[in-house]
Amino acid sequence: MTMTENKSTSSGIQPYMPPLVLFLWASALKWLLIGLGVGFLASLKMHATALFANISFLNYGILQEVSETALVYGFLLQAVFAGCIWATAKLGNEAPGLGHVSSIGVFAWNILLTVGVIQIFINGTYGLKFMALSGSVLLGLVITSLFIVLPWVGRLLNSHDDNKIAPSYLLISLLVFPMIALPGGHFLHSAGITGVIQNVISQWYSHTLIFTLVPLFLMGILIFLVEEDPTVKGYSKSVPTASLWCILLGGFLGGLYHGFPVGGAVNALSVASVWFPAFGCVAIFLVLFGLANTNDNSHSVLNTFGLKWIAGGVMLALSLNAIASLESFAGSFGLTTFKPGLEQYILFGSLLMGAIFLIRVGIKGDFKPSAILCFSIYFGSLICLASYAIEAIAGNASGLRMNVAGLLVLFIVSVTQVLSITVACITASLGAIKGCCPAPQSKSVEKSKLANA
Amino acid sequence: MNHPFVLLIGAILSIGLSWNTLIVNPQKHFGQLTTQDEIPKVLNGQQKQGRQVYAESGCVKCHTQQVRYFEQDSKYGPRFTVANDFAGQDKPLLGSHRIGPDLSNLGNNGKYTGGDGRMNLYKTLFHAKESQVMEGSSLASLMPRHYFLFDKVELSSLAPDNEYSELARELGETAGLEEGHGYIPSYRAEVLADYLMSLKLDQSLFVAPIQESSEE
Ligand code: HEC
Repeated sequence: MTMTENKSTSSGIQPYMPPLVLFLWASALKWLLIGLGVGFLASLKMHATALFANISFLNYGILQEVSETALVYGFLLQAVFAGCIWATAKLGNEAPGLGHVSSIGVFAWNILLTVGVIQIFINGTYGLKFMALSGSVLLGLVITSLFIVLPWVGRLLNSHDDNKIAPSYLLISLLVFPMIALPGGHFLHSAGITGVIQNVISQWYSHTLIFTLVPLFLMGILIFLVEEDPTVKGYSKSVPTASLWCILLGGFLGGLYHGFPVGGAVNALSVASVWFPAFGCVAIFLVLFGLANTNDNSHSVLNTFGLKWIAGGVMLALSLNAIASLESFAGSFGLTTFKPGLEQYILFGSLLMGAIFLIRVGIKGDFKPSAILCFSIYFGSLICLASYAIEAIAGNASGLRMNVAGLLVLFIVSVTQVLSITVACITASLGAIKGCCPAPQSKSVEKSKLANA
Repeated sequence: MNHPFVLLIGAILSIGLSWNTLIVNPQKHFGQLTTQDEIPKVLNGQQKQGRQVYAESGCVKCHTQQVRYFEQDSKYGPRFTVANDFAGQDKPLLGSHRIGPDLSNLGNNGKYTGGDGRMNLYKTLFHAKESQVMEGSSLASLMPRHYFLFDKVELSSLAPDNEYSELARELGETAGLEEGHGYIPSYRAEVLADYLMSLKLDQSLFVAPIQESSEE
């Protein structure tokens, strides 16, 4: 038995990264860098207020909007697609190449997004969260996303693995974007709706992308890893199932906050529903950590540093979001940079970590991303989070929007974010480049495993 | 996969439920508001153009136009905002976070009304030097400078009775231009100012009456 075989059998995952998935990762990383670069320029403008003051399309609002759009549509969604396709392909022992029909979708997605970003530079932004893209580009993205996801949705629906929960999570994660962007885009842009309902649509939409899709996806991948790990025994299916429904039923209802100008019962319900995903996650992580501590196999997925961080990170972010929604905190946290800070924490801290983690698994077949790397990313994210909280609290306590603490904090935030994420990106991309030439023995391992089964 | 269709139908139903609760339901209440109802704002042509400039200049990423019912927000307006305030507007500029102050009631801000008000507004847009919002502080403001909303001119080319000649000299100095040059507001800055001055929360509504005590 070679080293590789040893590793693969202990983890249950073959070290191989299909070209289609790599294509998606590479595109996602490209947009991550664009989003961070542009976001960094935006935050520089806060310190150097005369920067680009003569150039109308390089104003703070546009730069910030382009950065958010690049991060959400370029990085987040493509990373989610990549992760889901990676896991689905593993489940079916497939290795989709660049000739796969999904590649057309990925290609078109990136072209459309580029067009959309140029439009933002020209038309500016109305501040509808994550919905600055024009109606036609958004519709285009929905259509291309169908090319990307439908082949894999079909595979998941036809699989006969009745004992697994991960496919359910993956299925919903693949479908969330087209299912919300189609009605959202239609009603926002072409149904003649005006007034504050348009803001409701974008709040609903952006909340679903960050606080429903990301947890579903990350938990789907975690459960996938657990279920593929032959050393895990005594794993209960009912808690992950209950969590899934918790997130589904509660997650989509969130988005409005105390004081949002629709008022009344709708507002209250939406605020309360933020707790459902938090409960869902708490339940599932109790099970995962329980498993991790009873399993004495050191190779177990659950005993790795990176995985614990991902799990802890999502749980922390969802609970903080739920707590910040309470009326007693809402005045202090709503409309400050705290909420976007949380979102970025989830995006960067957890998703990026998840990405690196997956790439490691794809290339080496093991579950051990460098502890220092994990730590530095999370440390960076935590500092950001803490500083957002200071900004929110200090800013309000003194009755001011911005004060010395706020200024300092903005500076620390931008610097730490950019540093920690750049390090992570470089590491991940280096890993991805190495993965371009898959080890030939991995296929034979796969075959021998198939033959055994 | 275990019961894939139960799952799919469940997902569609839960999205449908949220859609119905959050969007269809409020739309029934607020979507039909017309000018017959209490609507404080109807923009004229220039103000509409100004609103467009506001969007193109990205102001919405730093400034909100919503006053919530919390104590912290009471300094931004005499009452909180409700759906009526945005009735009939396409893509209301509510904003989602406040790096600068809320602008819902800017049109009633003493600094920008009255004789020099308009010029003060241009100065703030051009370069909000020290933070005025933080009283007694000497910190630089975080608000970016918007030179792009102004046109560079030679001071000698301005007619002596030009309303902007004093402003032009001052802005030129602020920007560190050489002697004899200055900036005047472009058409875009003028319509933007028209729009900003139209932002007022002075109509008492049945659902959101004006709080007498919170008047300055
Ligand atoms: C980077 C964030 C940012 C952007 C973008 C921005 N502002 Fe500001 N704005 C601020 C801050 C911060 C203040 C508080 C100024 C101070 O410190 O006195 C402010 C103050 C103001 C004021 C004065 C408010 C008062 O109560 O005196 C007005 C008016 C204003 N901004 C309008 C605009 C307009 C119009 C735009 C778009 C062209 C814009 N701002 C873009 C951050 C921003």
